[in-house]
Amino acid sequence: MNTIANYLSAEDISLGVHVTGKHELFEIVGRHMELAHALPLKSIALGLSRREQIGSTGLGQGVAIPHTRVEHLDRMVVAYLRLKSAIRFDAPDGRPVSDVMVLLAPKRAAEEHLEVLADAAQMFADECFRAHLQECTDPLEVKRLFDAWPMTAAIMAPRKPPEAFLLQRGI
Amino acid sequence: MNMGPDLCIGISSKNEVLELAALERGRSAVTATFPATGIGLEAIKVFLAGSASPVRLAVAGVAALSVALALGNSLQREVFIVSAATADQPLALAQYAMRSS
Repeated sequence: MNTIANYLSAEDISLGVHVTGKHELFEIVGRHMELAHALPLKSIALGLSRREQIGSTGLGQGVAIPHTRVEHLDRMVVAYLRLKSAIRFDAPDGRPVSDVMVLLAPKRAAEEHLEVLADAAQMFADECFRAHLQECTDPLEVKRLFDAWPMTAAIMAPRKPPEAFLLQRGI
Repeated sequence: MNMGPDLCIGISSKNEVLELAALERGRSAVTATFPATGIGLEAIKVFLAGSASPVRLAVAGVAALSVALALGNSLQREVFIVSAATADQPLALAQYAMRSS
């Protein structure tokens, strides 16, 4: 099982979230973390904002991984949000972001943090995975998709020929 | 005496993946595999940017120069491009970065 499947629960998956910018997004994440995990709203929102000021956590392809370290957290907390409308995130490819994976890490959890980042990068780099993620209509379906990784990459047929395939053939 | 940076990273660049080892002073090494794509490189940048202390990297393998340029463009960051004959595994590269001054 991949690390994200270990840390992501269906309760931490939200689809169709309406926000107008990063600030509002981090407030919503903070509120959720307060309600679902009894974590301090303000420190979560502030931690995510401060990290974002160092440099964007946008990865490209409409994906961002905002993260922060949290005092007194005993294990990683992962949340996935799909935004109703993509927002500006200063991502390296300039594209707005609609897939947001939030990572809250304990103060000294470099190993887990790195593993989760690596798994998230592997998943979201896969066009087929991203396409199937967009088709999911409820949190349980999303959870199942994350749980099935990396099997999903092997068993899911591409929904459409990738761009490179079309270009190679002059289509 | 040169104490070197707190965090040293070794990256073995292969055709489809970037194998990474992170070595922090006084702690055991951690390893992870990222895709050798834009998203993979950005995810490594995101990890490096989150480090409060200076970082030293050693990179070897496929397109090592491009990887080094993509990751090393920051203050408080030193990057070595290493011949695969010297070290080609991520942990050995991280140890190389730790030793270098």
